[in-house]
Amino acid sequence: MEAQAFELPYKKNHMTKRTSIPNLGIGIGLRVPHYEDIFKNQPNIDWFEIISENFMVEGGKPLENLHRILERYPVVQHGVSLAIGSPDPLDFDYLKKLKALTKITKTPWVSDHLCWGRLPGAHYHDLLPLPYTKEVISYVSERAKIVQDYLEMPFALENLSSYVAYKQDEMPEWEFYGAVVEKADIFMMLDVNNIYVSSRNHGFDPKTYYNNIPIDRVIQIHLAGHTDYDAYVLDTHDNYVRDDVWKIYAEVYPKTGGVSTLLEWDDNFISFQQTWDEALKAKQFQPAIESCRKSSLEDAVK
Amino acid sequence: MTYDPNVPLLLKKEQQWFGSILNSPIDENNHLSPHSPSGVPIEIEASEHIVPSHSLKPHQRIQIYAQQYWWRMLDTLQEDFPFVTRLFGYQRFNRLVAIPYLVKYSSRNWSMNLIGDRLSQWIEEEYCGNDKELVLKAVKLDWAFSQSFLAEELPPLMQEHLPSEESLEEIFEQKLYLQPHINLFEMECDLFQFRVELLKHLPDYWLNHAMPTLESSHKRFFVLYRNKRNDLSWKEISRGEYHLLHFFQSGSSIDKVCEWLETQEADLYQNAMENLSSWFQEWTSRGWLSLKASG
Repeated sequence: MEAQAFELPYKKNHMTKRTSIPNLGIGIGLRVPHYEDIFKNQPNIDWFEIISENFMVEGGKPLENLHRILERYPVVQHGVSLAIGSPDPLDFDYLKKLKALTKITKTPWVSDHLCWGRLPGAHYHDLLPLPYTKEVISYVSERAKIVQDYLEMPFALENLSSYVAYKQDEMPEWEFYGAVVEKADIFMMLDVNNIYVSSRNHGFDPKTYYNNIPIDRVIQIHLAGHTDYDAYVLDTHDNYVRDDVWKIYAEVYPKTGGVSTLLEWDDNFISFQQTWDEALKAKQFQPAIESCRKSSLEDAVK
Repeated sequence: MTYDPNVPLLLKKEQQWFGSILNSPIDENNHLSPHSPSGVPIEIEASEHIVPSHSLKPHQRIQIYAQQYWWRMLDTLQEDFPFVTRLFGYQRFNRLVAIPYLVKYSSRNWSMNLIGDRLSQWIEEEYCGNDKELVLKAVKLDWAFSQSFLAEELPPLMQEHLPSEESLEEIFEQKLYLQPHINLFEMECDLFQFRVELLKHLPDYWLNHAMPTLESSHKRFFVLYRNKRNDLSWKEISRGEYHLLHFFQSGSSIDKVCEWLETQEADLYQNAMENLSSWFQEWTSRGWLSLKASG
């Protein structure tokens, strides 16, 4: 571990927040190479996650395809460009477009990453890690609260895969992450592959991570594959989910009481059916709370 | 270029430093420059900001981000400018165009679709090759393809929206607008076909093979548009069609267009007057015109 843990005064006060948020079941990330298969075969998928920015366009094929998907499937929006911890003001032109898209998709929540990604005048189009300090908790949580209020719907931040740790860090990632979402009163989109990747890159025990976050704030779990270069592990989303990651999922999922689970696969694509088969492996880790999912779905339909 | 007034000073400084490292191109071996932008050995400077891991030194850790940044940006530019990439091949495109462009013009929008929005400006300002004119045209053509694909679709003016013959004058006086996905080109050769031929092969294929001949002739006019299936298409048009469509691009009434035509040379005037009705029918059947302005 690279930083000293410290107790946050508000950590003990958190309440269960996700009671009204549906468990949609198992989904996969909607990606262009699979469109043909999806439109032709109308597979029986619980839900799709879209990258919001891919559809925050003026017109053309992307929006046409999105409308076809929405005719049949629930869609959840996941963003990559909010860059909430950046040093410049929140981009309300971006947020306006994001909110407009939520009206089209009827997404039950919106998520993005706990990161920064731009300086005034320069966008890096990456998910860059923040220093884990008390000052940054205050800064980011205030902005996250504004985002959730502006969007008028549940907003979740996702933990990153990271490759650097800063000298100025005052606490480990899990404490920083938990503090931000609690102080902002928002939700967690927990990427269990990212926990694993970061645990390898920073040398911590994944259990310490998920045993020390406000797990009742988790409304969605991400699964993905990574690439192991020995000296470090890279979050590549181009491979099957590794056993070590499934182990984390198997332990985290029951603790959440059953939340929507999604497989991300973004490169070296395999067929749609193979991707879906990989996502369905998640089912073997969630039988005990299957009933929980059904009742949530019924509530959502009502 | 403003900062959030609430951003913690230490956070801002860390991010400025991180950004300065990302902005510096990696070398051919994908390594950071041995010196930081402030002139300090990168190993020393990185260790002032980043802690080592069990296997990587601080500068090796941030190098992972620099690699990801440059690979992602270069890939995006190659995808958005496939014609230009083929004129150079991958390596030369990166070295002569993409990297110097990104150093001068960082991405200024959250959308990755706009990373290349100032490439034509950069070519005009900085590119010195003998093929500058062709490269500039290729940049503009690739950019038009990429923007047309995602452009807005205004409510089209359809045949059935047109007033009856008796009240046709109404429509003559109304301002009409061209769909934002329509791009007009005036060129002395068929760059569209040339682009098609080049795109049949990967960029580096053309390093060892002769490119198709690009024959210059008289002025030719083309329109690039999105069809009703939202696929991109193009066609050659007459000089008259080109000029008239240009008017509608910024909004114009048919009356104004006719006034302009009356001041033009006889050939153009004659041709337009003979074909105006059929052109108009084609444009409306394709949904190219709208009564609504963009935005």
